[in-house]
Amino acid sequence: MKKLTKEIICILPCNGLDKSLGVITREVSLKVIEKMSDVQLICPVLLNNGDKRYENLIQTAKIIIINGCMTRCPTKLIEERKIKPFKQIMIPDMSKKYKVKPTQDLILNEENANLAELIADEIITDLNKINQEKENNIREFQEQEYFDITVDKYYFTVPKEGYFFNENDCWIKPEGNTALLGITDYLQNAASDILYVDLPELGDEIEQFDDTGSFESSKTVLQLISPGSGRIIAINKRLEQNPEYLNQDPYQKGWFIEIELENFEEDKELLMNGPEYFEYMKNKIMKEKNHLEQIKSERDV
Amino acid sequence: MRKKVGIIACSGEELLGGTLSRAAARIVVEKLRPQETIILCAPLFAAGGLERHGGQEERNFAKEHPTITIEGCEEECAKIAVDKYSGPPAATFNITEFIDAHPKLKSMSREDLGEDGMKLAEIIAEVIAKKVDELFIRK
Repeated sequence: MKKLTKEIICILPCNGLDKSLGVITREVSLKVIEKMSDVQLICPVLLNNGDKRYENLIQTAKIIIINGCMTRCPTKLIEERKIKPFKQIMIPDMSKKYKVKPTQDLILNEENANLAELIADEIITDLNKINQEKENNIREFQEQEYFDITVDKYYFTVPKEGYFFNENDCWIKPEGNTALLGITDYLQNAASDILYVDLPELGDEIEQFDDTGSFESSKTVLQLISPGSGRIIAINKRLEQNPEYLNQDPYQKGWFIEIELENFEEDKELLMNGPEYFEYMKNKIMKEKNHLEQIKSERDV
Repeated sequence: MRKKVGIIACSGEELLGGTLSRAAARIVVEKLRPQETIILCAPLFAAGGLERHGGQEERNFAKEHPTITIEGCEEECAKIAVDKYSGPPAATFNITEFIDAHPKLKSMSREDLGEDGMKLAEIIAEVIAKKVDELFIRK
């Protein structure tokens, strides 16, 4: 059984066909997944037939149930599997709350579509709030020890442990079968003040050394070249509002993306650990410094 | 009084076939054969009805009446459910066969069938309505 590593939200509507309330549940769930591509839909009839595709999902996901009527079919289907739903919505309750009385029409009319829209918006707002809270709280980094070096006015650090690096000055920090990825202090220094970040799409499959997003400073545009391969399961959306995190804290608050690792043992063969990268970075800095000094002295002559 | 025929659509939400099955079922029951047919709710059938009503309304209906299932895909959820709780259905129609037979009638999306998709639903409904007539003649 493959363990799901990321918390998944599923929506299970009653999807009934013989009452307008069931038709509304269907519309609500379609509207939610249209606006939130990472929410998955569970078909109640298929679930009842014991389809294996839901076996792992319902055990690990947070399930939002949308009941059309008091029969509460989807609730029954979940409870008989001894699973506690994350949230349950009853269309009649929502109808009272929003003071919109659903009509009996089995074909979705304007009133019922409006009610569906209001309920879907409420679910989306709740989910966004949860995601935001999670993003704000989930990344708690432990205190890290660094190698450091000062060259002229520039200060460079490299974490001593837990991180691996490629020659493109990007890092990967594996934890179990997931990993955070980001850029090194060297790269943020090279970029100078970062003004914009272009993040990749959630769910994208990336290969090691793929160009996986970019960032722009007043000087240049640089790319995150992925040190690992896998599927993107989280992106640091806060960087869009706070690109300065990349300059201020490139190894922690400035993480770029999180991936579900595909084969890190293989990826690691082409990466350096902390002490190795620190030596590599120092050589690179010294070479650049010497090169610049040479240009300067030639110009002076 | 003549017995009614139960119509049960897979209602599947994950695919276009489910939407077509819903539309075709409604056309049969509301427009083409309103006196002869009754719609059965697949999720209700699967979960069982209200406890205080005995919990078996849809299932008992399908035990005592001929029931036609409309399947959105090869999973045949409606047929499996009817077979499990009430006995074999009187007939089963698979939407994918109709989609293959009418390649020019392309539905817009799972959410909105569009004009061509509704035309296809009408065609499917006509075929089902004929099957309803056959079942009545047999009786």
